[in-house]
Amino acid sequence: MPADENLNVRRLRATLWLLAVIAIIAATIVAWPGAGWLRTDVRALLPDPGGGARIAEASRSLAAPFEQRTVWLVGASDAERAARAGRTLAERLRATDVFEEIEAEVDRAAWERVARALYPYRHGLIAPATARRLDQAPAAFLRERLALQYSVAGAAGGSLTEDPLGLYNGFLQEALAGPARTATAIDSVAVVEGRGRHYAIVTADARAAGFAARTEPPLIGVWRDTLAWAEDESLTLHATGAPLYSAWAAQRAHGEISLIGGVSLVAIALLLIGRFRSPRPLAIAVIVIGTGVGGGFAGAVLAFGGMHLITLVFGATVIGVSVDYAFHYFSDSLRPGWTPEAGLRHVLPSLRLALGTSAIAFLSLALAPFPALREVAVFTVCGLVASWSTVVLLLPLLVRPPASAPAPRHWPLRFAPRLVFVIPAVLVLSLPGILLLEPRDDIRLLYATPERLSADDDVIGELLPRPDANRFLLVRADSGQALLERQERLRPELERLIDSGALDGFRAVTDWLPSLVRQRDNERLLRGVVESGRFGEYLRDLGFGEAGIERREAAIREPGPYLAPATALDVALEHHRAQWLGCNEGDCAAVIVVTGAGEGDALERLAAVQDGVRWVNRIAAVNEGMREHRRLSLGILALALLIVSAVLSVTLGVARGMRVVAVPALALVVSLAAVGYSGALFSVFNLMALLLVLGVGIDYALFYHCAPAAGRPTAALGIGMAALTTILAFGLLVFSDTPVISAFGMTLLPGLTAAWLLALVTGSEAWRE
Amino acid sequence: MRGAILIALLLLCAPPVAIGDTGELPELVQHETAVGRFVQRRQLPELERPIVSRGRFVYSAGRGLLWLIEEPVESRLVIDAEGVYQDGKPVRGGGAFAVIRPLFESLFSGDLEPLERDFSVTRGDGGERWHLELSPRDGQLARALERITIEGVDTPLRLVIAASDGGRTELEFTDVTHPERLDEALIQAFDRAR
Repeated sequence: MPADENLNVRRLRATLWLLAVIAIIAATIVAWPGAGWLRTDVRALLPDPGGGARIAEASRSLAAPFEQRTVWLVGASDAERAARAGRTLAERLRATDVFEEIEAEVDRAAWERVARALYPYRHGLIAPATARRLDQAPAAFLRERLALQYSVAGAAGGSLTEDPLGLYNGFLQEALAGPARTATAIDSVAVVEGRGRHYAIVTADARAAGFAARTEPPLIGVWRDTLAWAEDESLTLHATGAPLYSAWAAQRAHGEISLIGGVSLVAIALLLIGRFRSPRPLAIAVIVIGTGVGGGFAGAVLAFGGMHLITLVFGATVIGVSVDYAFHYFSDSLRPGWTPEAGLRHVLPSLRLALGTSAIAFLSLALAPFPALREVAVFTVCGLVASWSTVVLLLPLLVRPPASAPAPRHWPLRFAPRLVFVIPAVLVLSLPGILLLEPRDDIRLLYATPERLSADDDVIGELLPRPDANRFLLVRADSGQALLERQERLRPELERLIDSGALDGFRAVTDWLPSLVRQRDNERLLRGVVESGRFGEYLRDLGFGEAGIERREAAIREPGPYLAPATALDVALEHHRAQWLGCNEGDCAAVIVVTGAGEGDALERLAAVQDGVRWVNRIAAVNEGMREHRRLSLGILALALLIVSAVLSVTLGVARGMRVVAVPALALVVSLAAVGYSGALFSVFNLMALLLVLGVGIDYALFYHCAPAAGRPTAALGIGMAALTTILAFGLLVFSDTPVISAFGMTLLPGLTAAWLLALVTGSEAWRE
Repeated sequence: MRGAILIALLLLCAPPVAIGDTGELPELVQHETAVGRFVQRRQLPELERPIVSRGRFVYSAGRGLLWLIEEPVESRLVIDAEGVYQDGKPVRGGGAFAVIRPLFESLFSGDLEPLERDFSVTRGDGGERWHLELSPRDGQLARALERITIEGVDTPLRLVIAASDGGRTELEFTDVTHPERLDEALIQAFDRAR
């Protein structure tokens, strides 16, 4: 009997599907890369900005001490109150159990340790500015030192007998100072002054947070409580740090995904159950989406050994569209006298074309030299193929014509305007919006931060300039000493930039480790002061005995010892050591960190004329990459449109093919115009949304235009269901706080709506022919 | 001056307290300003004679402390909330440097309480004069500083800083007055020294 035979064929197809699923799962398990399958570093998504491993290493090395650190500035009108508040804040933070290590007090032990360790090398260690003064105006310098010894500051400032000229003390001050402003210790709490107040500095290293998504990360709770406490005590509080940002992002993402995802899921479920009067289509839709996401996941694992978080999120959302294939099949089942075979026969030609054109659209992404886009391309195409196969192989077995669902009614648009009028109307209305498009290629827009946190970050950056792990000068040479000398040659140039206002300050390895050449120069300088008799005179003025004077002079005349890199690194402070990247087969590298360099144009010009010096601005490089790829991606979109036009012209004929292509093409114009009018973010990330509009627009047009006269009502229902669910799923993204995600929604919402309406409008014209 | 006399009377009437009692801090009259002369004698074990300097000092609650050194060299030193400046240049240093600013601030403002944070304060007074001994609480500070001794009546008259390396700095204050407002010339001197 044909019915049994058909059932067997359906069973055979379903078995085939099951075997394929099992085979893909097995292959994925074999290729499973283990714990590192999910990459989360945003920089991994972007093309290498150039410069290779050394730059990445430098950036990691500089960032390492700050990864877990939060910085809290608590301000009051006077320094003592600020210091007290700093202590209280430290106690409060300690009581929360969120932090590992909390510091409110100036670490005097570190100072002592360095001071003692480097003391034997003191004759070669002179701060650069002091050395210059000692060289150019030794008499005036000694006069100043003498005056200081007569004041109470001289009495308190270091040992006269151990460091009579205060040169070693001056060196340590420079070497161990922070980047620019110096904090004073009030009651041994570090306090800075600025913006008319005094601020105690408290640093707290957060405990490493797990990946567990919680409704509110504990750090955010602590942050809120502390802000409230400061408010009650009428203190000013500013906090920043990478852990706060990531805790915030985690909370936001969690909140948004639950809310937006939840609302759209409920809406879609209601829509499906409401229309088909049965929960079965919903269950089948879940299977279709599940295999789609699973297939994409497997494809990415097999092709790239894992994927980026963004690939997973974007890929999975795009694959959500694959449920459209199922909708067309469900809708068809509402036709009177429907059988699974007839249904498949009805929709299969359109399904084939839809898959082909979508695959072309998404595969064109792989043309971009953008690791992220390649991953997304593979993920989406594999996922679409998996969903499509499920619809074709499994659904004929699962779908039953729903007994109670009302048959679709159809109101073809009788007075639909002709395409020759629609095209200019859409273009004219969209043109101003497209002209308003303002690209913003900034990687930082990927993150949403609360205003409070970013305002605080600005304040802290102003009061406490910190070195930027993404912007620095990288100095390289073929030996350690050559590297130090190169840094020292750069110093006067950098000081000139400070004088001209192009730079606030810089910290270099040579602050605490002068080159051997420089140490010998310093020693010679000091010997000159001894030989000129000025040193003896100075000591005699202060009342030193002849024996003491001779002993000190003899020590200065004796050359060495000299401070070697290994010794200096051994005692260097953590953030100093991070500046030294070391030597690797004759390639030595070190970093000069800068503050207040802005985008660093002046430093870039400086580095361009210096051997072995490079200005690294990773954010600018990444943004430049984003700009290039935005341009490239618009080209890809045009190319995809061209290829699809060609394919459809061949399969459907030029007139029908072009009418189908006109739908997504106009929808794209509407999308772009909407982004322009709304002022939403326009960057490379909108491309994903535009491709989706292209793929979905083609589907709608194909299914509607190509439906046989009897199938038009169900085709209209199919694209209606597809459009409504997709708009519900993506349109809600408009409400996201993350600019990129909100822009994704802002591109899709008008684009999908336009594609749907245009497909209906152009349908009647297509049938007339 | 009425406040000073009152304090002096109160001190006279109060029963004498033996040194070593960690009693109440002397309640100094809190002043907005203080102007006077100082002599500083600094002695180090290795030096054959002390380093002596003389000059004037000016304290103003808003501006900080100004030392006008007149002998043997002319020099200006300002200690204020932001730091220490000598002849227009910032001075930084290790050792006991961190405590001199709050120390002088306390002494001349008359508010001794903040001192108790960095030092354990032992008080003794014999009649009109009170006498404070400050020992550093913090180990690091103790490495640089052994003890600070302050003597005074309504304002400090003598200060001795005993450093851990055997150095000893003695400051004597004389002709101390508390003018209602500072001369324009002194205000300018503050600004020039910074």
